[in-house]
Amino acid sequence: MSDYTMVKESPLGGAEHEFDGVTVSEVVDQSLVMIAMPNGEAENIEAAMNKACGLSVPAMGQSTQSSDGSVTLWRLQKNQVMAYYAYEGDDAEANIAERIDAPSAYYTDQSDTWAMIRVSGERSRDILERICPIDLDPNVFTLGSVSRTIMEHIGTVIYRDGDDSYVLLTMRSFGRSMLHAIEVSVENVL
Amino acid sequence: MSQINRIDGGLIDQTKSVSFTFNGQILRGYEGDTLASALLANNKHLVGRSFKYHRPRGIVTAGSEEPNAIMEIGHGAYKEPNTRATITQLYNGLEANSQNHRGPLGFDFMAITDFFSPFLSAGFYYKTFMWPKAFWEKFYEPAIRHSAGLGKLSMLEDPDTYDKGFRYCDILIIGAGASGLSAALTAAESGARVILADEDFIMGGRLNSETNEINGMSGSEWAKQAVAKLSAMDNVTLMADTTIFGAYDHGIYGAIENRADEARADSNKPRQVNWRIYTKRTILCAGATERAIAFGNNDRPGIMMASAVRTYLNRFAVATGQSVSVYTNNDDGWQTAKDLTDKGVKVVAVIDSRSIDPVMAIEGAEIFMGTDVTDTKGRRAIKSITLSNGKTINTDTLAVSGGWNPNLHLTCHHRGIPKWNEELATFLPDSSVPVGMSVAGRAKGTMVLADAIVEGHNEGSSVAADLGFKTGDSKPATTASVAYNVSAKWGVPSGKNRAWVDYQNDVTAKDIKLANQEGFKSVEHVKRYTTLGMATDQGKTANVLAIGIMADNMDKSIEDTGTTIFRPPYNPVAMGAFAGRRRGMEFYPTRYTPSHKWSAEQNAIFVEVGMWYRSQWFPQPGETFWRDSVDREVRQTRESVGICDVTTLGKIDIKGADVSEFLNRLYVNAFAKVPVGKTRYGLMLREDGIAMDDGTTARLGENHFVMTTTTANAVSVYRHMQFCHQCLWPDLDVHMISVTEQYAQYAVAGPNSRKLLQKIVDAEHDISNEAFPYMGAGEISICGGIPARLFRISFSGELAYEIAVPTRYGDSLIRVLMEAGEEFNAIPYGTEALGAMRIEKGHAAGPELNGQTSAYDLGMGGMVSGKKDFIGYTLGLREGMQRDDRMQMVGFKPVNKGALLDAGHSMAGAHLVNLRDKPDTFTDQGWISSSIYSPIFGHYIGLGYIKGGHSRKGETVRAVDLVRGQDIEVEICSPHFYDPEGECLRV
Amino acid sequence: MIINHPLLGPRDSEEFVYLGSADLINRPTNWESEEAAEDFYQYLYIRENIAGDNRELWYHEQGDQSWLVVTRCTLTHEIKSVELAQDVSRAQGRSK
Repeated sequence: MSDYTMVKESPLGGAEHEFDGVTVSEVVDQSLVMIAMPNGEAENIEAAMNKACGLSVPAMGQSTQSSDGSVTLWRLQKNQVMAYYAYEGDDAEANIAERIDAPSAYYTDQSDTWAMIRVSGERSRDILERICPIDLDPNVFTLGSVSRTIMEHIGTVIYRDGDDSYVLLTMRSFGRSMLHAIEVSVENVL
Repeated sequence: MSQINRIDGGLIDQTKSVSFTFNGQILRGYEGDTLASALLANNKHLVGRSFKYHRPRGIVTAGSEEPNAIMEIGHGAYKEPNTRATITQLYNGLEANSQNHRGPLGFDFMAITDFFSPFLSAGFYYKTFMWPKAFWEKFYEPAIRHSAGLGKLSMLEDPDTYDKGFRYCDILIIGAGASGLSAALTAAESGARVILADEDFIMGGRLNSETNEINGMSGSEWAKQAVAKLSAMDNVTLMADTTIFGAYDHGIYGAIENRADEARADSNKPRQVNWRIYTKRTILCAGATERAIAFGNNDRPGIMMASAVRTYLNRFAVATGQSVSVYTNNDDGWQTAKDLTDKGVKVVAVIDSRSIDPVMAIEGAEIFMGTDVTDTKGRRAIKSITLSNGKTINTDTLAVSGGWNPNLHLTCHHRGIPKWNEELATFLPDSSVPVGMSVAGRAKGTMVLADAIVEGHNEGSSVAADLGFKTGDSKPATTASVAYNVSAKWGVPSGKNRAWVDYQNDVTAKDIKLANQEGFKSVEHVKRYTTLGMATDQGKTANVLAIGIMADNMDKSIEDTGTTIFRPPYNPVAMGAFAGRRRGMEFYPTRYTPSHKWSAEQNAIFVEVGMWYRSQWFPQPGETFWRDSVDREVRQTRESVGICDVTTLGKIDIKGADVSEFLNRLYVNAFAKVPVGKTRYGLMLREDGIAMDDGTTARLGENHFVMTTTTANAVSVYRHMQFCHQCLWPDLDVHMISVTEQYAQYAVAGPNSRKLLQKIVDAEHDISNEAFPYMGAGEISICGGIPARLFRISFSGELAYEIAVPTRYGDSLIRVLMEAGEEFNAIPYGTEALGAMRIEKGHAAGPELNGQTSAYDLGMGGMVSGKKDFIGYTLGLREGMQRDDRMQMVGFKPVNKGALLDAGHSMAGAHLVNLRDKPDTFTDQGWISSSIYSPIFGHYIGLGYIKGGHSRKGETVRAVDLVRGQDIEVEICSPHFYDPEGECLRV
Repeated sequence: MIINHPLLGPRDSEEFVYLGSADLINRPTNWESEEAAEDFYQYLYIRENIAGDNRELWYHEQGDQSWLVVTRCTLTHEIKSVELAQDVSRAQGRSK
């Protein structure tokens, strides 16, 4: 047994703020793993993950879910998919590799790379249109859509996980600046 | 007496009184007023002094084209100069002050300039203030700037906030007048996403100012109902009080949305929002602006545009005078006379320059056809006019209509050139409009309201159909067809009286004539020589008139005279709106390191490194000077152990079957055979052979590498690698991802670093010197199973490691390391000590990798492989890249070890000259790029570049810093001051 | 300015980084030959100054991180086509 104990911490300390019509909260229970497809392996990997948990590779800018709904895949790049799923252990790479059962894929843990902030509520789009340059019209950025863009000089992934709910991911070190940007929008709009 | 000019009716709420001040006087208006309409209601015609001659000036228009009524609104830091009273919505407590006069507005001391006007003609400044040249900056310019000019800035930081935003639509409709509303109705009906924007705070455009009936109701009522219908539709966004100021590439439009100042005063909301609107198609329905006619003394307060007189009458219930006369060259001017008499306001005369039959009967007015106005009288307000037939008529308002100019500005933002139309005597948009834009209504030259409505209606549905939407079968609104006939009238011969063309910049018809006579023939040259159209109103009422006058002067057609280019912005935009919220600390985001919270607890001094905040040093009690802390941090690290957060260095995870081959092509040195568990230093060049970045790359598995880059180049190296992969070698099996933020990484450096780490590394991982030698790398666990990566690399020159854990444990790790290091007196060190130690060790960093240096210059020629192709290989072999007399990196130390010790600065920035040379550009031998006081050696040391440096070691030269008055002798030496054999690294 | 990304659709140019001519794809492979110096010099430095359709490289840094070959008319700013640089590179015979 070690003499020292390590304590983990989420990028924003579990921040959560409720406003009239919008809730801004840090997402702390999800892991992220990038899954890269080696050259020539894409089909095998898709077949394997489909067999293991019913996952298929989503179209660009879209997401898919495993049959039990526990794993979501995002397609942000041509040759890679990102797994987004409820898991809080330190071994997300091994964990997802086991669930997906596609040994030829390359797994890279990204859980600690990103700060994740959920903006939800009926005024969420009014808040986001002040910082988000992509079209969030509900008929255009449909449920499950995911995109990477730039907001307030910060590279940001945006994922629509509900009718009026969006998860924003920014590199962890930018987390506080992004939270601030969202709060300023709330202040300016509501 | 209050609001003596106010009559009944209008689109204002006469039950809601609003109080405001003008030049300190308390006045009242009503809700729905603009500042201008409220001033006119109170019979305040004189509202400012002109730019150059300080002539008394009054309100001329009722829109954003206003040249005269520009004011300072608010006070203190909130003061906003040059605000157009005609578009400023009135609110309780509004404070307005007129501009550009010394002493009271009614008696301006500077009005004396008007008597000198014969000397102040076009190009006066260019001609007069040429000599002596030195006087310009010190004397002439300050004097001119003091006497001329408009409003004054508060010189305080703008306390208002601004924001930006992004909106998308299928069809953007600019202007919510009759045609814009008609277009919006059909476009919206199709289901297309529509944004309808209008610069007025009430939509409806001229319908709110006119008496036309549409669909059996008043035009303003029809507009109100159309707006209500549109606002109930989910696919429509209405943006009132929003000016589309620019058309940019590929369907992007800039828009400024104003928030009513009153609403803003009650909250902290942004004053303006700068929207970027993305649209597939645009319909410009911006309407038209009435232009003036240049006749003698046409600038007196009370001389207004005929359409503005109607706006004040119909919309704002203000009769601008009690005995009004109208001067027109077109049918529409007569409507002003009719509306006035209908509302019981006395019209004394209608003067029409055309020799035709009167357009209509105007009760009680004298009618003069084929007649012009040649002069006016009245010092602070118009009292009478003189006609070309010699007759003088007493009048208190002269309504002038020179015809209508389509608001086609936005059609020209992609260098479209408008086309002259003789029949309408104006320019019309031609086919060179921005891609995706079409024009409807009066903006297109469709001057008859009934036709403009049909055109908007049809354009809305045909654009929607073009985009694949199913259009409905609704019918356009109907209204009586009223003809619009016009006959061009530019200048009226006015003898020695001046006839103003551009009110705001005080340009007269004579100035234009003089410019033409002096050889300025091009409209662009005349504009710049006379400053015509260059004021804040950009000549909206003046430009076409000026072109007409030029054409007359030069006896050319208007087509041949041409027009100036319209560029964004359409109306002035506050700088604050472009900055948005990105001010002060929000200019760009801030990145925090994993140890930030802990470092702040230690009272660390932070430094900005790009966007990162890094700890610069950690002051201890009793340390008063930064060097006290930094010297201690260096000493204690070299004596025992120090810890530094190096998370900011770029980390790129690279996986794939071809990674070693890929790295081999990126680095100058061999990477094909790096064994698993080892890390290697690598130097990357640009294709031209210049050093780009350096760092270490570790092989963690057969197909798995992790690369480090410098903090500054983390992004550009990643981009370069993606370029090399995707563009040059697309089939290599290489998969990259940035893991900079995935791992919190700390350097643990110093002779006790291993002992410290052994306390936290789990027992199953042997990190002894034998099991984990210099340049070892591996995945381990610490503190009972926490995953970690360990690299035995050193930037300081000591026995050192870098340890990385998932960032969730980053804060915890620095605390654990400090706790475990207590018995060794472990200390944290910041970027200053980091830099000091790397200079002692002779590692090149940012100041050395300056975009001019080859591998050879850096002393790394020996590393460069000749057995493989890599980026920069071939061009790095060029003769000039390897010459012996290039600037080469070496070390420098003062001959007198005590040099600079009391100077308070290092040698950095000094240039190098040979001992007997006078220091100048020609004798320059090189420079010191990095320098610090070395606490280990007890004197300053430096790295730098000097011609042929590698073969000059031992030579003495001078380091001269003329800025700081330093001139010392330094010895050229090896850059590796500390432990040149690298023995410390391997113990 | 908007670039119509072949995989993602129209995106604001704010998300992109510009590099230069798409000729940069054609990196010479003859590093061992005598002509290498001349060929690399031509490759890196010598460009046509095109008034018309220009093929240029843009990197979707704040997006999917793909390199694109954008054909843009330098006279009108019209973007005529956008392709993945990886596909262009392969089509030009480049592989490993």
